[in-house]
Amino acid sequence: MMYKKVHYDLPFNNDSNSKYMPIILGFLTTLCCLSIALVSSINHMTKNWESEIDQKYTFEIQFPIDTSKNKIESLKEQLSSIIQSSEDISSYEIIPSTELIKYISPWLGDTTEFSELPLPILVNLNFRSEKSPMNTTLIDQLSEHNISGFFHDYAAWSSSIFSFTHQLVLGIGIVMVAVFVITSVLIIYITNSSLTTHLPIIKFMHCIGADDRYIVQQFQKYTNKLALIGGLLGLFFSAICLIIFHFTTKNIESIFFPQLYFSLPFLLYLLLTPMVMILISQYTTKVNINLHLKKLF
Amino acid sequence: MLKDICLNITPGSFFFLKGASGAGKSSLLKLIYLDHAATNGDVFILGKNTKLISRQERAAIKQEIGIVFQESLLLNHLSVFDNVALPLRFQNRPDKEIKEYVYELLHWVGLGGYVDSFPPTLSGGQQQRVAIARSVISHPKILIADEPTGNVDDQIAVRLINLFEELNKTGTTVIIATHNEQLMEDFGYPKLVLSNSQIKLESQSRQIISEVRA
Repeated sequence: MMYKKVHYDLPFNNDSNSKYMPIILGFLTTLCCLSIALVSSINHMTKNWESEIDQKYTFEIQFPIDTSKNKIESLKEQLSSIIQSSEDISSYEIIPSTELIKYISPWLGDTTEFSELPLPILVNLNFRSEKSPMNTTLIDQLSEHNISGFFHDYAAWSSSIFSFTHQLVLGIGIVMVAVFVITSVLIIYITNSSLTTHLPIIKFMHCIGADDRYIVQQFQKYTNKLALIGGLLGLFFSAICLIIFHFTTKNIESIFFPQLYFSLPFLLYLLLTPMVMILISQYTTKVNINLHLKKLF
Repeated sequence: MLKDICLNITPGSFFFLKGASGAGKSSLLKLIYLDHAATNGDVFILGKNTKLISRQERAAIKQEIGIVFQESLLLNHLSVFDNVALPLRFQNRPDKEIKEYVYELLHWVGLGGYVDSFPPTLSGGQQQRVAIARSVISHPKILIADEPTGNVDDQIAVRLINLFEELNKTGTTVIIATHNEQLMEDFGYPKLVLSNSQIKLESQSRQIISEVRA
């Protein structure tokens, strides 16, 4: 396909006010793209959490002080056989003591004698149905064997975490709306100053037969070009930012730190951002120039 | 200021408009090419009352009117080609057609070799011919020229009027405002004279101008 240079009848290339506009629009696009990336990654992270903790409970038996190590092991075996016989449990895992020590060692320090600590027995349980553990036969079976303990429910914790992430996504959404509004305001500023600069030529063009649609199209061609350059610049910079972010955070092991993830729709949103900037510029230009032309002539 | 003027122009006519400075020649022409609106009374252009038309209709009427000013009023940032092509671009004509018409017109005004030149590099006469080419390229129904020969020598002035005559032969109504008595005498077309805000026809020809009433 042959490259065809965009023809302007108005001397837009001399407009000094729009000189840095692609850079500003590029920055706004970058902000928008990074917001999309963040929303995508947070969504992915919360979905992972949701699937990991859904119908999961931890059953805890507090350490009985006068119980010997052998008795604890037999208690674990007894517990294991009760759980296996329960129809409500799809899978379970008795957390080994070594694993428990790993969890508490950062707080107690390396010098602690962990073997002497009264560690509880923790069992991760996956329930088949959406029933609360209290409504299952497991409770009766545990009572029959005089095993008492309590269930840790993750629902409350996850609910507050999800509420926080939803607020975060909402905040990012507000940032994106702000980006679009600022883009519109910038386009209005550019077109207003350009209109003032080229007013004599526009009046002359009107005089020799140019209609409003033609004048608007001239401005639209120009602002579309600025938005396209800004959009592509922004996409390029956001790609660089995301690559740097990806490699910097690759080695950070934290479930709270979102790893970059793009589902297909989010990748499309990201690639469509320059197009959105063009659409905003096109619409804003049309409305603004039409309003001014009606006031002027 | 113009007062109590009734002027009915027959399509295809050719006449000069004369009058002292400030007599209202430009005002009358501006009323015709819709740059001004009448404070009182009605102006009908191409059968439409200019007070009752929409912005779109106004632009459409303007596209049927070619205007040549005393100053050529070319856009210096555009080439000769692009200046002449403007009215066709307003009408959203295809590029191929625009190219064909512009080349044809520029040859007609004797500027075939200046297609890619820019107005500041042309002489006054050449600029005026470019302006004429621009004003007639869309084959307007009315051609208005406001002192078109004011800034050119007599030889070029005659040539410009010859171009207007050629256009008139194709059915375009031509109205030329001028001070140049010699030119008006040489060509002998009817003269509309504006004086004291009134208008009168100096060379009676009811075939060309059906009615002039002061």
